[in-house]
Formats: sequence, structure tokens, C-alpha cells
Amino acid sequence: MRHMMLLTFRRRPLLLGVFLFLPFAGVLSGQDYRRFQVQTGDDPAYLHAFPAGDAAPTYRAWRGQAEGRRYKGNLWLRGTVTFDAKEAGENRAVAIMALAAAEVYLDGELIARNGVVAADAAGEQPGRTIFVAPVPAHLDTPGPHQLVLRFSNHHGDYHFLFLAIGFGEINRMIAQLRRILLPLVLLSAFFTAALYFVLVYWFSFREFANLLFAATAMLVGALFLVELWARVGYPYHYHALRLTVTVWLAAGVNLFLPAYFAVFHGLSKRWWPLLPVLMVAAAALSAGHHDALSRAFYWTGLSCSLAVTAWALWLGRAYAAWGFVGCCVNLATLAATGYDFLEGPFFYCFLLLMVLVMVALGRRMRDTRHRAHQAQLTSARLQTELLQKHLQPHFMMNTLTAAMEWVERNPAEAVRFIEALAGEMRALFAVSGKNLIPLRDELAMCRAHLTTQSYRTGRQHDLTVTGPIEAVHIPPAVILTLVENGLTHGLPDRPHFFHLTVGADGRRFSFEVDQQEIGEIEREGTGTRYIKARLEESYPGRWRLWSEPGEGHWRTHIEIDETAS
Amino acid sequence: MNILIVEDEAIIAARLARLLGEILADSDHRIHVRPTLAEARAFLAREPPDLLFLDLNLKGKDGFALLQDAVASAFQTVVVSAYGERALEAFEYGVLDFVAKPFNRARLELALARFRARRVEQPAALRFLAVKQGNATRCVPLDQVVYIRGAGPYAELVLRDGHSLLHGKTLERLEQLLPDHWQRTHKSYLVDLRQARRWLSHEGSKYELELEDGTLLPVGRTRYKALKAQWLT
Repeated sequence: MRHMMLLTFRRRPLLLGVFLFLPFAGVLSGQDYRRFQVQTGDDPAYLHAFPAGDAAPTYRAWRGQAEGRRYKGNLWLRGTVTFDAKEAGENRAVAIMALAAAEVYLDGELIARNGVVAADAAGEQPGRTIFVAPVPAHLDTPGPHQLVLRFSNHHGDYHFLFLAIGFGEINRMIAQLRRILLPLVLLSAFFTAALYFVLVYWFSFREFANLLFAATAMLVGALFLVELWARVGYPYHYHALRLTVTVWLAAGVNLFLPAYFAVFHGLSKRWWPLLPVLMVAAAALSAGHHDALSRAFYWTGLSCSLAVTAWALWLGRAYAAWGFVGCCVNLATLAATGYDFLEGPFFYCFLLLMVLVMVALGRRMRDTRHRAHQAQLTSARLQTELLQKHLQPHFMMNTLTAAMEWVERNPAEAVRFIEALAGEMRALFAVSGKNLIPLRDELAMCRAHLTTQSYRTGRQHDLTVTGPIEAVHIPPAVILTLVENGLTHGLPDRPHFFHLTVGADGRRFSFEVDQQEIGEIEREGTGTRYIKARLEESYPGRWRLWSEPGEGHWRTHIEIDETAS
Repeated sequence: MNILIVEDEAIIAARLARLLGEILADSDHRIHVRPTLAEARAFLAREPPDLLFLDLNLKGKDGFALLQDAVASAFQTVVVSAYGERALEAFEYGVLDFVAKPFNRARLELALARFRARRVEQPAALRFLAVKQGNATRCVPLDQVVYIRGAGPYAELVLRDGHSLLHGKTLERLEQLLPDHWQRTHKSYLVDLRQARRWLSHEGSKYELELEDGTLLPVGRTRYKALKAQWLT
């Protein structure tokens, strides 16, 4: 019955007031066509009188019967319309909406034709769903007039339906029909948004969520286009097709929207196959006609979207509030407007939702870029820091002094020292640019360092390891830094023993240094800061580092929680 | 000659000891090595050396605090450091020499030559005199000092404000470090000649120097002519 919205009665606007937010009262004076009398079949004599006379059923009564609800074929309508007085220079016209070919007779005279009325499909030419015809001047006199309509509906899958009839001033009627098309500008918004999300996917963020939203916006755009098509009018036999397309599009929109939110917020999608089932169930419970199906889909899809965004909000996902607000507005409007929602309010609500989703996406893009940039900076800084530590004057100049001494004292030993040093530097350069390296490489680097140190200090330091080494990875120079800290804080004139224990799962490390001079490794020295920064870089928020004194040693623990990755 | 080497890296400490020992082979000398500052302090309290070779990591604040501690002492300090770029600063605080790592034998010979010279040309003029006061070390800007009077094993710094402070070094060791406009006017006085107003010659070969603030200081008979000539130019 929603087509009654299009052409309306005396006090109601011609077109969707909600849709356009513009009053149109007074443009058209509608006629209560439901009181018109009905005669099925086709006979020229019906122009003058129906066989049943005044006993012929009204259109309303006939529509209430089984025949009237599903009628295809020929049909006549007869009723009385009353013209009011018109201003000089005004021209009256009649507007009719029906799913049929039609002839319009006023006071027994044919005044308009929509398609060609015939007894069968071969003879009939389908009329358009909306047509307007002028009332001849000689018939346009104030007072009652006999109106007779001859219809035939032999094409298409949809039964005969008489939707509205009204009389009004012709120019106002034409202006009104143009205004109907104003919302067309919204169409570009949906398609532009869809294109935008595809481009974002293509060029910036290869996230499936972007494609899902592009698809949703595209379907909404298509839905809107089909909705506008109804306002322009089309050959009536496309009506069933249009309604079917509308229902499928609504189903698509409501399948994609909740999926979009789930993917965007990185939530589980396992429930998703349940959504079509829910939609079919909701459809089965609804009245069964096209609009009821669509409405059932909107209820299911929007409720699911709301649930998904609420879930994301509950989990504390960033940007979840934007989608949640959008879904709330949509669902509230659906509840408030009922069937009207499908024709107008939905598009405005979806427009709002689209803006909110874009805001969320924009913020996420900004934050992602920022984080990526920060991570890059951190990685670059850590790499520089690692290399710098070994190129700093204290290390370099002391090393060169030691080399000089070995050259003067024992050239053969000097060569071995320089080779050990080259080995350490080579290992260091190899790993400095990486985020994670095999523990094996890290240990090799530590041992190379201890070798060069033994040339400098004259002490043989020792590093032992228990636990798995293969397949265990670690940020570069983390253990090396612990070794260096141990040497720095250890007594300089004695050898040191280091022991690394690797947990069976390869995610727990405990590093033991023998008796320290100061008693503990400085907590926030450059070394400790370096280790923390490296752990954070590779395992953001999923690591723990702590130290404790023991009997004759100092122990540092590192724990990595991989489960969140 | 008593030398203390403070260096935590064994091979470098050994190198210093070896090279200094070779250079001083013909003279009476003792060389001690201490790897840590704590051990060095204990040694210094027991057996003050003539010369300290101090390995300093001058990158942090601590390095310079240790340096001030050292230069306030009676002995002369030679800094041995990887941070060559901090040398000028070290000279401003009164180190006798700054040996950048890596170093060779010739460089250490030069350091010892500076130690033996009465006066050495410093790459950067001394700007501060570190003075020990109780446990703390105070840095006195040199331009606050009017003259320095010998007081046995110490030197008394007389400041513009009339106060005086005792410095751990003898006049001779301070004289080694001071810039050229500071001159020994008398066996017991070191004076900043820029503050001299006039030279007084009294009967009986008695000479005096009047400073801008009116202070009269004795001038050695043998030094008078040369000092006045230097002052006039």
C-alpha cells in the first residue's frame, strides 16, 4: 500500500514528505478512488453503465476479495469527481498511477490514453506506472463529472493495481514531478563513497573491510536508483522485477553491513553464515509481500550491525563508537517509521552512517600511518643505537689501543685479536637491521664479543646455555646487551660467567651473571632501555622484563607472550 | 718518580705501564696500576704519587667531577681518554696533559717531558682552579684570583673578595699549569701581571709590585728587571 504515498488524498502531500522534507499540499486534489465502482472484463457498453448498476462493488470491497487481490486482465472503474472553480489561465490535468494500460473518459469522452488497452497480451501495449494528461477545456467546468477508466493488465508478473488518481493545475503538477527527482543528487554520494572505499583498498589499505563497505555503499546506491525509478515511472510490467530487485538489494545491504563491522573491528566472523538464516527466518515471520521482506531484512541486518558494533565497543576496539551511533540512528528510525523507512529515511540514515564510517576509517588511517611512522623511527633509532654503541669513542679507541699493544707485544696474537673483532663487527652489522634474529646468531655474536673482551681484559669469560636454541628467535643484541651490562658492572679484574636458560616454549629467557660489583644491573641505563625498546618493537605490550638478585649472581628474566599475535 | 695508572681495561693499563717503564728506565721510578676508582682512592690516601694517568670516560657528568677531584690534588694529572674532543675542556680545569687513545710511546714521552718542564704551553688556558673543601671540590674561576702565595706544600689563593683558599698543589706545580700572564714575582708569589699597577724600587735593592687594588707584593731581586720588561711590552 505504500504507493499511496506517491499520489495522495486531499490533505496529504503528493510525494514522500519524509523523503523530501517539503510540503506539497495543494498541488493536487486527490480523489478517493477506493469508492470507485469496479467491473471486470471488457465491453464498450461499460462506458455508459455497469451491468450491475449501483450494486457493482467498490474498488476497496473488490480488493478485499480473492479475485481483486490477484486480478490480471481487463477492468473498468467508474466514479464521480468534483472540480472546484479554477482561476482564469489555469489548466487542469489528471495524474494516474496504476499497473495497467489505461484509457481515461470524462463525461463519456476519451481524454487520455496510457499505452494501448486490449483483450490480450498480444494486443496490449503496457502503459507507464505514472502518467499525466490534460483535461480538455470544454469539460473543465466546476461541479461533478463522470469519470470512467478502462484498464488492461496482460503483461508482466504483477497483478492489476490501481494506486492513485488526482487532479491539479498542470504546471504545478509538472514542477512537482521534477521536484521528485531532487534526491537524485544523493545518488552520487553513494557511488562516490563506494568508489572511494575501493580506491582506499587499492592504493592504501588492503583491508577486506574496505571492499565490504564499498559493496554495501554500491548496493545502497543501486537500491536508491531503483527507488528513484519508481518516482520517474516505468512501463508497468517491470513492476514485479523492480520489487524483486529491491528485495535482493536490501538483502545484500543487510548481509554486508554487519560483516563490514565485524571485519573492520577484527571480530570473529564465524556467526556470519547465521545471518542469512536469521534473515530468512525473519522473512518467513513477516507478511510475505516484498516490502515486508525488505523490512524483515533491515531489522535483522541493522540489529546485527548494532550488536557487532556494541560488541566491538565492549571489547574496547578503537573507533567502534562511530559505527555504533550510526547503527543506533538507523535502527531507531526504522522503528519509528516502519515501512516508510525503506523509501526515504533509510537513505538519509545510511548517508549519516557512511559519514561516520568514513570518519572512523579516516581516523584509523591517520593512526595507522602514525604508528607505522613511529615504528619505522623506532626501528631506525634502535639500529643506529646498536651500531653507535660499537662505534662510540670509548669502544673504538680502547679497541684500537688494545690492538696497538698486541701489535707491539705479539703480532700473531694481534692478528687473532683483529680477526675476532672483525667477526664481532660482521655479526653486528648482519643483525642490526633486523627485528628478530635466530637465537643461534645472537649467541654467536655474544661469544664473539666475549672473545674480543678477553683480549682486552686478559680474562677468559664464559657463556653457557641450557634449553632449546633451534627455532627460537629474539630481537637482535638483547642478550649481547645483557652480557655487556654484566661486563660493565662486573669487577674488571676477574673472569665472568654468564648463563642463559631458555624456556622449553622458547618464549622465556633467564640470564644469570655472576657476582656484580654494584650488586645489580642499572635499571634504566641505556642498555636496559635498548632491550625494552627492542622487545616493544617486536612484541608490543606482550613482554615482561625484570631482574632479581640471587645467591652470588644477578638474574634477569624476559618473558614473551605470543598468544596475542 | 711515583706514577699511578687508573685504567679498568687491563691491556691498556699494561700498555701504559710498559711504555712509561721503558721511557723512565734510566731514572728511579715506581709505577702502580689500579683498575677501579675505589682502589685508586685507597692507594692515593696511602701513597700520593707525583703523576696520575687517569682513564676517564668524559662523556658523562661523572667524568668531569672525577677530573676536578684529581686536579685539586697535589699531584699532576694526565688524562688518558677516548674522548679526544673533550681535551680543551680538560685543560681549562688544569690537567697537565691530555693523551687521546690510541696512543704511542712518543706521546707518553711528551707527557713526561711536560711534567718535567718548569712551564708548559697549554692548548687551552687554565680557567678554573679546583680546590678541595672538606669532602667537596670547589671550582674557582681563575680570574677571581689576584695572586697565589706559597704555603709550604700548599698554595694559598688570594681572591678579589679578600678571601683566601688553600690549593693542594705547590706553587711550582701550579706555575706549570698557569697561563703566561701569571708570573712568579717572588719565590713565594705567583701574580697575574694584568693586575699590576706599578713597580716600586726601594732603597737597598728592595722591590715591590703594587696591584690595582693597592696590595703591595714583594718582588725578587733577580726577577725584577725581566718581569717589568715583560709587563711593559
